[in-house]
Amino acid sequence: MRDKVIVELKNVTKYFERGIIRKRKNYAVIDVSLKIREGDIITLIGESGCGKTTLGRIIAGLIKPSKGTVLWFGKDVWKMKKKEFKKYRPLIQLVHQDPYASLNPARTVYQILAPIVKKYYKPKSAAELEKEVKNVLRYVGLTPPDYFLNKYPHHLSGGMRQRLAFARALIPKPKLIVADEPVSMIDMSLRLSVLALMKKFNEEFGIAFVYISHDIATARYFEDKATLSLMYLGRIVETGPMRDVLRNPMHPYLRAILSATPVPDPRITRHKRKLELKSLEVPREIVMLESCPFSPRCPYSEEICFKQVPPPKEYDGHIVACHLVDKLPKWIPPWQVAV
Amino acid sequence: MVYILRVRNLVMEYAVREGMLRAVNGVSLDVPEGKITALVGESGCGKSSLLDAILRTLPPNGYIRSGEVFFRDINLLKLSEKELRKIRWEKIAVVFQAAQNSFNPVLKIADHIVETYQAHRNDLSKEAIIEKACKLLETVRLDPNQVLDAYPHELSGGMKQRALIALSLILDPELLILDEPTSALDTYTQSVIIDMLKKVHEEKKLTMFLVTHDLPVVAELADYVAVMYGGKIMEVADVETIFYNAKHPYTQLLIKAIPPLIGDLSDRKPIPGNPPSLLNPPSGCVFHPRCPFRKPICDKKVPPFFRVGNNIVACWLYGEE
Repeated sequence: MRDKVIVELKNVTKYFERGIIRKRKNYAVIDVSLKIREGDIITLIGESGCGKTTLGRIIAGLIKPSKGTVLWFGKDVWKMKKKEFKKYRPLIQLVHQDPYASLNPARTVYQILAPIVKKYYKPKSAAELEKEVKNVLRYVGLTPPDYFLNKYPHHLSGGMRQRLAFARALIPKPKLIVADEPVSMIDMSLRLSVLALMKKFNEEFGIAFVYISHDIATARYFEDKATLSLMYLGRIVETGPMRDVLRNPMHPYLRAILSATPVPDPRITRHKRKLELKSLEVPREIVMLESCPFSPRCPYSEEICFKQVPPPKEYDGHIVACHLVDKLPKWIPPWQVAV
Repeated sequence: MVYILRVRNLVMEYAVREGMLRAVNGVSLDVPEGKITALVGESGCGKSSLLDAILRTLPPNGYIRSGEVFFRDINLLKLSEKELRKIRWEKIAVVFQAAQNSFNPVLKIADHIVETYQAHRNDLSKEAIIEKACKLLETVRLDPNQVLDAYPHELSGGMKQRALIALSLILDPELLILDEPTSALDTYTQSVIIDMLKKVHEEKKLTMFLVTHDLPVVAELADYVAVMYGGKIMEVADVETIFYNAKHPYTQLLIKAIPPLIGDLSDRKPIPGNPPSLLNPPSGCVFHPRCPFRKPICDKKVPPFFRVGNNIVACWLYGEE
C-alpha cells in the first residue's frame, strides 16, 4: 500500500498571461513531472520566484496547469465530477508560510477548529465536540488544551500559531499536506519543533508532505526519507533521495548554493570555498525555453547549454538536467578542507 | 580597545493598550572600533527596539526611560534633533531591513546619492559626487551605468540591498549599522552581500554593528557577538567563544536549535517553552522558565554580569549573590 502513487504530475506547465493587447506569457512552472507516493516527503527547494509556490498549488489542486495533467490516484483532477472533486479536495491540505495571516484573527482557537471537527468527526454532542478539539490540540502540542481553547491567534506566538495551522490541516485526515515555507517565520529556537511535528504526522499517520523551502538546512531535517527536488526558473533541475543528492550534488546551481550557505561554525564557514557564478543576478522576465535556464550564470556553461534545454538524465541514483553532467569536476564539499 | 559606541543601562518602553511594554530592559553594550559586532536575538527580543533607541528613531509610542548612549564622547540621547541629524548618516549610517522601503520610488538611485550628500555637505560638485558614487557601486559589485539611472523598482532585491549599502557609505561614516542585511534574500545573493560586507570592512576598516537573528551569518561575519533575549543581553564574547564555548544556557541551546546544513542532526533540538511576553516578563532571569539548569535563585533575582574566561554572562550558574 505504501507504494501507491497519490499525486502524479505529467509534463505540467503553468504560465500567467499579462497585458491586454499584446499578451505575454510569464512561465512559472515548465514541464514538470513528478510522483508522490503514500507517506513520501518531497522537499521542493528553490529561490524566490523560481515557481516553487505555484508548483505547490498545482500539486494541491488549487491552480489548473496551462498544459499537462495532474492525477489523483490515477484520476485527472481537472476532469473530476463535482462530487468526486468535493471528496478529493479535503484530502490535500495546505499550510502557509505566514501563520499571522492564515488564521482568522476574530476567532478563538476553539472557533477555528470546532467547525472542521464537527464536519469530519460528526460528534454526537457538544461535550464530545469539545473533547475532540482538545485531543487535536494535545496532539499538536498545544497543552494544556483548556488554556488555549478561548485564546485568539494574537495571543499565540508564531510557533503556536503554526501548530494550530497544522492542527487544522490534520483534522480532515489528509493524504498529503503541502507546507509552503512553514518555518521561515518561526523563531529560530522553535523551528525544529515545527519540523518535528511534521515528522510525527508523517510517521504516525503516513501523511505525505511536500515541504517547500528556500533553505536546504531546514529541509535536511527530513534527510533520512525525503526526496530533494531543486527548482530553477520553473524547472526541476535535480531530484533524488536527499542523502544521495547532498552527498554528491551534480547540478552546478545546487553546488553553488550549497557552497554559499553559511554554516553555524565560524572556523568552517569562513574557510569554505564558494563556487562563483558568472552573474549575480537571476535573469528577470526571460524564460529560456530553448536553452538551459542556468546557462547565463553557470560557471561551466558551454555552447550547447545556450542552444538546448538539457534533458533529465539519471546519474548516480539521482536525476539531473544538465548537459555537462559527465564532464563536471568531482564534487568536493566546500567545507571539507576547512579545519 | 577603543569603543565607538557605548550603551549604558538603556531602558526603553512602548505604551500599548495593555500597559507598558518594556522592549529594552537595562541593556549595556560596547561596540569596539574597527570590528564587526553582532547583536543576535530571536524576533521580539528587543533588538530592533534597541537599534531604534540608539538612533532615536522610535515611533511616537516609544519612550526611552533611562540610560545613556555614547557615540565616542557624545551622548546621543542628550542631543537636539538638529545636532543629531549631523551624526546620523554622516557618522552613523544605517542599512535597514527592507531595502526596498528605504528608497523613494520616484527618485533615481543617482538622485538619492546626490541628495543625501548635499543634505550634509557642500564640498563636492554634483559630478564629483557621482564619481565617488561610481566607485562605491563598483565596490558593491554593481554596474554604475546600469544602476545610477535606474529607479528603485527596476532593481532586484539583492541589487537594491547593495545599492543601499553603497548609499550608506557615501559620507564615509565611522559606524555602519546593519539591520538584518541578509534576510529575505536568496542564499546565493545573501552570500554575495556577506562577501561584500567583508570586503568593505577590510578595505576601510569600517566598524560595523550587525543586528540579526541568523546565527550562520553571524558565524561568517562577526568578530564579537552579543546575545539578546527578552529585552536583556544574556552573553557577550568573541565569535569563536560564542560558537564553541558558550556559557549561557540560552546561547548553548540556541546554537543546538539551528538546523545545520552539515554535521550531525541527532543532537539538535528546539528550546522547550516559548519566548517571554515583554508585557509581563518572568521574574528574576527572563530565561528561567525555559532553562534546564535553573536554581532556586533564578526566578527571584535578576542575574548580574559575571566574567567567565572570555565570556561575559548574565547567569546565576557562574556566580553567587
